[in-house]
Amino acid sequence: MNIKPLLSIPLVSAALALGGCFGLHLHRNTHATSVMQFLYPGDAEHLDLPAVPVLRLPLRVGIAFVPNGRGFAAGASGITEAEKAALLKRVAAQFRGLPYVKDIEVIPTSYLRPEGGFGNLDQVKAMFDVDVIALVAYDQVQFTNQGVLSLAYWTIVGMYVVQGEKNDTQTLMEAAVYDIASRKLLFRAPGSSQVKASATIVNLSEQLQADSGRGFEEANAQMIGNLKTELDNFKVRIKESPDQFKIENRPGYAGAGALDGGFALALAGIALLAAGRRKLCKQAGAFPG
Amino acid sequence: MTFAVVASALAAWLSPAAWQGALAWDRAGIRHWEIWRLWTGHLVHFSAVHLAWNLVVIAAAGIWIECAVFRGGRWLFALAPPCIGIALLAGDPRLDVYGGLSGLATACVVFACVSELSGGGALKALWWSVLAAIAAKIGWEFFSGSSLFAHFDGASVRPVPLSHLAGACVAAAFAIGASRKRR
Repeated sequence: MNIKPLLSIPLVSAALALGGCFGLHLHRNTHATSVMQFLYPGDAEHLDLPAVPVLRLPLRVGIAFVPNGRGFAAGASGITEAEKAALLKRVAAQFRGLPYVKDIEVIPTSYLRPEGGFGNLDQVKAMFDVDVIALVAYDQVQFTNQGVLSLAYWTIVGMYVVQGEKNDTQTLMEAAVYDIASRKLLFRAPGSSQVKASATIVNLSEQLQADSGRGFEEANAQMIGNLKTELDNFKVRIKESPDQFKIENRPGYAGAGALDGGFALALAGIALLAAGRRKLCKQAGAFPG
Repeated sequence: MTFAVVASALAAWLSPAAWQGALAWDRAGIRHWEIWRLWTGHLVHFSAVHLAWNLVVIAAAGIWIECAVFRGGRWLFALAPPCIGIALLAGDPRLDVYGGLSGLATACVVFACVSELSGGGALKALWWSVLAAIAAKIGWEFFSGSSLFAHFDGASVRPVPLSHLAGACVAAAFAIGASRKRR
């Protein structure tokens, strides 16, 4: 009887268990927030059945960092409120200027309660007069022990294998855009960064702090690029699935002066012929009749 | 002048969304004395197709005006944009944001046609036909509540025929005023 397959089961189990222990005993600084923990606190089974979102254009958009979960000490977030505001302003700039976005409001984290859920978002909607909110969550890990090669652990985007060496900084960010009234996730965009170790024992804490800031900057920049792509994809989805999204116009609207192909070509053709005729007549020294 | 307008519109198109937001015709912004929006709003476009057709017309009409050296052509480029912008402020109170060169492009074509007509000479029927076609298009846009030809990606962006009407009226006034001065 071939016992190799039977032996392999406990061996694999043991390897996984050891891997898990290995992960548990790593020295790492983790700063993380989670959209799921904020929206569905303490109830993994809870389910809000999303309704069909009615998007009234131009949209009023809010943008906020998800607050830390309960149990986090103040200031343990790895990023200050001022830094959060600066990062959010850059994200907001992506939405500003779009014809279907009326306002974009950067919402301070203090207006969101830990594990506040959609009830808290309803309050934000009423307070800031926003229809849609982009919730930004992050997960940053700094490895502080020797010889770590890789580590699998749960992040804001699920189980994620992180390659790490001593003093590396890994950052993941995610913007999840929700229609508050219907509780529907419209689209999401991730961003990530890996800052390689550059610290020495002398400047360790300062360098780790600097790497942390750089990690947030880089992940934010990548997330902004992905937001642009996801927004374009979302516009296509709205067109292709009109039953999933209802679009309405507000009393005020964005307008454009536009000329379509046929009419534009006809006008341009006549104008160019007239210009050519003028030039020819000038060269011949005659006033065009 | 034509080159400057075309280059500015292309630069605005390639600029970040935040800059485009700062350039667009925005009722709230203009009320807060962001007066430049009356000029720069025309340079902002909402789609590549929107930009392309407007540029085709304004480039051709601009070349026509510059080749013919119609009197008042430069003033038209300088003053028609704010005139159209003010007409939108007064005439369409529900309009929050506006962008597009078509008001100015329409103004250029009308200006050139009226200048040709007031200059005398042949082909009067052609210039009258072009003016009639523009008038018919504007009339249809008002009547149907939508643009005859233009299509936009976003349902929130609607064509504004008032910009074409304002452009045509301003251009006709400029051309007639310039021809009277010449006499």
